Amino acid sequence: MYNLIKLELRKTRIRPYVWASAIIALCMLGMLYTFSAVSYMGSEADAAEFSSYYNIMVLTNALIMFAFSILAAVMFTAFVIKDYSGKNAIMLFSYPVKRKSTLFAKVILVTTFTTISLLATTFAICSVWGLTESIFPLVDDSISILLVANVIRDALCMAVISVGIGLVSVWIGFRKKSVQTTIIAAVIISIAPANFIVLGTSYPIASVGLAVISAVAGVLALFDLSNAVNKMEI
Amino acid sequence: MNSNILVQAKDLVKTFHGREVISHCDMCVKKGTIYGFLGENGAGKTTVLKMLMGLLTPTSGKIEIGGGDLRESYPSILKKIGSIIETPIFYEHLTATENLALHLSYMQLPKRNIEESLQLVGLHQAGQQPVSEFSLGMKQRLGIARSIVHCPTLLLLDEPINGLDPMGIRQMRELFLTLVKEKNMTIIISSHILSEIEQMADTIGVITNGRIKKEVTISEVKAKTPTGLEDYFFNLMKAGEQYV
Repeated sequence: MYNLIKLELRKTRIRPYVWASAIIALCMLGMLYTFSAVSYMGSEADAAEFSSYYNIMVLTNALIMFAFSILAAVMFTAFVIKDYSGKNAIMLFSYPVKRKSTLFAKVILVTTFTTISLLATTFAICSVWGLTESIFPLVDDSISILLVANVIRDALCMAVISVGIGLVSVWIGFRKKSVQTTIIAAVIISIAPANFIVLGTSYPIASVGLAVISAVAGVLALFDLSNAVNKMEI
Repeated sequence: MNSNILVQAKDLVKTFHGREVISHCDMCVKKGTIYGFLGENGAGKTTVLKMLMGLLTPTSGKIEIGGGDLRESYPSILKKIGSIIETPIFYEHLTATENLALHLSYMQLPKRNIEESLQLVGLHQAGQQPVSEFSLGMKQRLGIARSIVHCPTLLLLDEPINGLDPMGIRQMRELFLTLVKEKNMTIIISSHILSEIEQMADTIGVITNGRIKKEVTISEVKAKTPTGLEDYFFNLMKAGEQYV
């Protein structure tokens, strides 16, 4: 499996996705400061939603999840949809490798990349933001161990949700081997969890519940996808 | 199965959406020979080749390669098969050498014969060029290089000389004859260029409407139709199986 993952990295350029993750991180950092500015400059009514670090992080996490769900779907189109379409599939299936093994290698690669880049993004923007907040606080709140633990928990949940959405989207797009269908599916599917996350600021368990649902959905999608790949005729 | 026979297909049937595209097709290819696979457009040549590669599963019938059932030995048998099915494609951002190295890695074989394979197809000076800069003919040659780099026992070539210039066509003909003579490869080659098939093939199989109408040796073709394979083929298409 490790060798198959290395081969995937050799044949598909990963650098564009690294750049995409960096751009997402910068945009999310911008959103963090935007929300913090609302808290700093807004009236009592305006600032209510942005009055605590945790609330701001929940809002930002929803956007991070949305962005990385799309990124996961885009990566799945490159590694799965395109590779199992037309003449690419002829080439792939001419190798003495079990079809399911090749698919799992691709999924592991995308899952790992999405998870690491989402966690790295969250860590990076929280570090920068936390540093500036400690010097010139925009939000009337304090950083605590509990807050850090909650942010880590939510980041892990967002990673699972993003990967789950990516898998379900590629499962939908694989029916017609369509890149557009995969990405549009990811956009549409991400909207509901994003809103749910934002509305659940008083219920932290919402993120965990969503992560469990996404994980189950993702595994089921992967199972069906691997059966479809195994039976594929070209 | 006769030990002299490498590929045997028995009573192959393939249906797509209820339509029978391959109809009770039998094929027999001897080891160390070139089998010219001829037929009109849409006759089923590519479909049969795909079934021999395991890319399509026969609706019924059996395929044996090297004495073993293809389905039972799949996918490990693919190490012994090299192929060009439809136009070959590559990873365009990689060089020719890198594409072949990747191919060998997927075949779980050491990185050997890359330079030799590129030399054989006349691409030894283009090995470090990205494939995105290759012409159609160069890509076709690289496809041939990829099909032979892992020293397969069986080559399945679906119109491999498409897009080649006359010099390239001659080079590939000589290459295929050399591979059979010196490396004891077995080649199944489909092409519409009958003059080339006539110069290479030991046996001809003609497929029409999904069924192999005739399998004859090239000497039988020449005995029946001294004017050559082209006339034999056209006469067979007109007269049917009665043209013996």
